[in-house]
Amino acid sequence: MSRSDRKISDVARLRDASEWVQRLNEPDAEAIVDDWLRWCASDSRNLPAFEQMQRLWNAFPAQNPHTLHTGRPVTALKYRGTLAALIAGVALLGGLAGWLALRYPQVLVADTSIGEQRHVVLADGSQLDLAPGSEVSARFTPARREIELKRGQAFFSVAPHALRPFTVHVNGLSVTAAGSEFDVRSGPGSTVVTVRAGLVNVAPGASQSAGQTGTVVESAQARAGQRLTFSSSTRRLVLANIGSTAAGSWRGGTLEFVGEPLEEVVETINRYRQPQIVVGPELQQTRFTGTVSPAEVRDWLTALEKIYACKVVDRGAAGIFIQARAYNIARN
Amino acid sequence: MADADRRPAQLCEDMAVLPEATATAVSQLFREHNRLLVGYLAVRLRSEQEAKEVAQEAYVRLLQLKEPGDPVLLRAYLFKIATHLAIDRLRHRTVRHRAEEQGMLLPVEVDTSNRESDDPARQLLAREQASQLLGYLQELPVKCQRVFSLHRLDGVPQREVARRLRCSERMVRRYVTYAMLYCSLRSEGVAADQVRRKVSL
Repeated sequence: MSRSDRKISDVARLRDASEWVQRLNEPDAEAIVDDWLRWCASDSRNLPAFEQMQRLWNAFPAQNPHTLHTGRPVTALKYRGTLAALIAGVALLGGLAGWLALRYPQVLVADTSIGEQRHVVLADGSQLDLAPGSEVSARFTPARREIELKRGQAFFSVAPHALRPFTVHVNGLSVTAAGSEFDVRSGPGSTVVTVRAGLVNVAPGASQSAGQTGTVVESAQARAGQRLTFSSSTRRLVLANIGSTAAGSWRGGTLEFVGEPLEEVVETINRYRQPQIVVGPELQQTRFTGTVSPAEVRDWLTALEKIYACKVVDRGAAGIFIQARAYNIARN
Repeated sequence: MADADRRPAQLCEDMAVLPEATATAVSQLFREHNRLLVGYLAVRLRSEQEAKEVAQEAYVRLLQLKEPGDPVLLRAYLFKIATHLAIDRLRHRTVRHRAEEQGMLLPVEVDTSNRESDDPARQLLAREQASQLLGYLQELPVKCQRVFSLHRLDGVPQREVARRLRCSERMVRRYVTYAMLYCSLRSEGVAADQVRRKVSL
């Protein structure tokens, strides 16, 4: 029997099933549920027919807001937004920035507490891993994707979109990428951008170049395996080759440092665990290279005592203090 | 799956306080009506995966009832809870859509977004199926196409479609039913002329 030999009763059943799908789709469907259940119970072939029609009903593409659920904003909407922005800009003459801020408000993407790590997918398909003790906000407009790293560290995997730049704002710097993988860390004395893949441009942020004359920072680029460090004291960008595996290695649970001040190292570790570690002032700029596992930080501290002229003092909940030996002797 | 895991535990807890009849009543309801409930919810939510999730949630709520009462009333209550949960989901979805439309991004936790709709292969399949169905729609009389696309694709209520196109609601229902039947048979592989001979408006 071929498909086309379908019995009249089958067609009638599908017809009924289709009617039920429509009726159950109406706002007051609850009232007819009993009738529908009776219809389903009256013949064992009714429910399969209903399911067939329900699948068909759902298989049509969704176009209205109630049914759109995985879709991105329709292109037409974006253009409408751009056009509206244009008109508003002309009308307000300079009020455009404020208007845009209202139209596309900055929203919190995620914030993590100590020891907490999160993976987030953004609306454009870009992904980010947020390290412990970090916070990221974002503002997406039709023309740009702007992220703000307010504290801590994040690793970004940017979805390529040539006409819509992806910029991370951090400590007055603008880190711009087009389809790259890179890590950004905001530390106490410096900001570190490490590139795993692609190319990243680091430039002074808009507010900085306008507000702080005389301290113009030149922009610089980093490729895969390179690191750009911006020191807030020297106000300079320093490029270093450190290898591409270092960027974002913290996601696997290992913190990798290449010639970084102890102050930065400890600040990073502190985002993972309690009690906090405090570095004495004379050791803060001491450079450290190596890996640290936050779970085994005691081992690291023991090793530290051997490598540097320092002493580790555990004061319980008050913290763990790394002090210079000479300093200790002088005080005693 | 969290809800599914929670169910037996909830059951045990309730059984300690309530007569065994309660647990039995709910599990019987589940056996006899789960497929129906999922079918009902799938129509409203337009996603079977979400329908299953909401159904689970509804059973869990039901188990929190102090007294099971009459089986027919319990069933009615189950559908009532499910309807409300579905409405909540749809509302949430609308908010989400609006946010996306305004260019805001909505963070999605990767671990919790294990939905069928996020599977690229499935998405591709769904898109292909959708474009095929839209192709079948083109074969229908113009008026029928217009009615169906207004109602199903643009989400205009049938009453409103009737008003706009100046025909009776009964006619709108018949057009929509015909379009569904037609597309269903066509997607089963029945030739267009065969379908037309077999199915009348």
